[in-house]
Amino acid sequence: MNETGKMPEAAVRIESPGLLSTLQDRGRFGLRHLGVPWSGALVPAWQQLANALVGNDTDSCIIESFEGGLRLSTGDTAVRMAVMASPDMKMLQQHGDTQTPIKPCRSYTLAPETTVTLSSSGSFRHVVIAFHGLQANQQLGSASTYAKAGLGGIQGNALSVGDQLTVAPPAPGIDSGCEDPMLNHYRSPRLRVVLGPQDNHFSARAIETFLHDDYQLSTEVDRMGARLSGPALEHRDAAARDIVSDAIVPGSIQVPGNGQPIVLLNDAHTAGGYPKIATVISIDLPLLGLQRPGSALHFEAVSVTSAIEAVRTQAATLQDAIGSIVPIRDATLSTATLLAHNLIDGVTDGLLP
Amino acid sequence: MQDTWTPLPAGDRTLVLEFGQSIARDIVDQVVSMDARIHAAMHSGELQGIIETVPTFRSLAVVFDPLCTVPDELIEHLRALDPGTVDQSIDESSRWLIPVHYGGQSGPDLDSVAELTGLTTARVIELHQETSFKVYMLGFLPGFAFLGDTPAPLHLPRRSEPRVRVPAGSVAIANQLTGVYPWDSPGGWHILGNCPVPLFDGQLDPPALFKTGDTVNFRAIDAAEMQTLKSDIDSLRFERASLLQPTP
Repeated sequence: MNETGKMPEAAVRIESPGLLSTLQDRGRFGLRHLGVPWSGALVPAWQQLANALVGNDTDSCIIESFEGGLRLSTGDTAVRMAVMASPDMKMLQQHGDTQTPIKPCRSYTLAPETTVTLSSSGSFRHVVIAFHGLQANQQLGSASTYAKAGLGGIQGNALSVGDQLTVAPPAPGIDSGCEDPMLNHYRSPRLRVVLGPQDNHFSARAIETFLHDDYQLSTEVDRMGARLSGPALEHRDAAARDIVSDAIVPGSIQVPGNGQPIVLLNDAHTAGGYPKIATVISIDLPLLGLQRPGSALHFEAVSVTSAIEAVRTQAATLQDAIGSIVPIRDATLSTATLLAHNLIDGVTDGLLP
Repeated sequence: MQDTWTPLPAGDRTLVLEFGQSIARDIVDQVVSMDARIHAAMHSGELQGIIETVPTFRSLAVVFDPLCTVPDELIEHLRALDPGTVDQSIDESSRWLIPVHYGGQSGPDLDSVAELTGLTTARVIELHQETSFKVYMLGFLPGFAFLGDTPAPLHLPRRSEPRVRVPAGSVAIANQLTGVYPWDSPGGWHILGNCPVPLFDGQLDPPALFKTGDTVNFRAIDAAEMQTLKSDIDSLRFERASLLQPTP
């Protein structure tokens, strides 16, 4: 507490926004009927874990980025940060001349005047970064960025150079970590799908191909969707290539006339006129943003009942992981932790009259 | 009791109720009516586990929380709500009178539409203006409303060359539909005019002017009134409610 009785504020400055870096929380629900998509974190399990690791409410806003050169710096106050990413993601923190790597799934107390750089891997893999006490303006029930309609984020936009994010100084305590419970799941080449709602617009052979052949993840992956390429999926007949517009949800697999599937994601339109052969189950959607372009994926049909069972199991696994977060003791923390708790400042102050 | 809809699976958190496969006012009426009944049952607590619903031309998507409910359970509850006919008692739709500046720079395709339909431009405007449209669906862009039906003499296929940029506010037609573009965007419809009123405003709740099931009539305004309205909107002297019409 400072003399005004308010918590002092700390800041994080965006030195380079990297690739598609946005503020995202759980999403903006309840407006799809007006054409407003959910937006929200593409890897919700990581969003929740990263928040838990820095002591936030799990629904809080995080920075979502891709492995593409995001660089941030702290100001004159320490901040607490946690990153969720693929285990081989490369991120460094630099304080003075000292560089230390940042690993996923644990928190770090970053000293003042520290720069954090996420390296560019040439892939479009997602990274989630949480800061303790990150403030974000809610608009229509969410801080999630949806730039197309100027909603959420930084005045309706993605992060850009010079943006200052207000965060809270770290609460006393040392950093903590856990195992990433999603590690194996997110490496899987299997996308579970529920067939429909327009699987009857495709030939029996197309359904067979869809479920038995591999599809490559293309380089066209963003928050709207992911294009895959593989054997063309033929429609039942020419008339079956279009439908009267029907609702789209994240996970809907549209197949336009060229027969190549597109999996729609959180920022996609809320309705569309291409038939949807199947829907990727919600917990498998993060895979599309975590594998490298060219990776072979295959679709596996599951029943709605078993999809929901899998969703419930994963929710429990995630809760267990959050419950297993424990303090970490390591030597590299000591300076930052001391600075964070103002102990060094206190010693300096003791020399003053 | 006859179901008017067929349940279709759409993943682990959405159930689609399909009412038909074409664009027709009676199908939209059934969708809107079912949607209203679901929302009434959500408010009364009779229906639980639903996150939101998405009405379209021919279906109603019901988004649910898979941690709370499953489609089979939902279908059972939804069937109990469905009397199989349009329920006139639940009507939350609004009637709007929307100013449009037809022709000129506001409506670059008015002349070509007149030519293609063999009508005078005055007759095109008259036909468009005397129609009571219904909002069949919102989508494509936040706040973009698909309105129907455009009068039959004005039915034209989409332009063979879509525009890269259709200005925000453009009132445009294609086949049986009329649309108003909330944002600058690419588009292939024939632009008849421009409406100065924002169709989507993220500072307002709800952000979209229209909702599915609303009735919309257009009123031709001249360039002077267009300017007055624009300056009222820019200086925040404009209220959406001024466009509402009494419901009959």
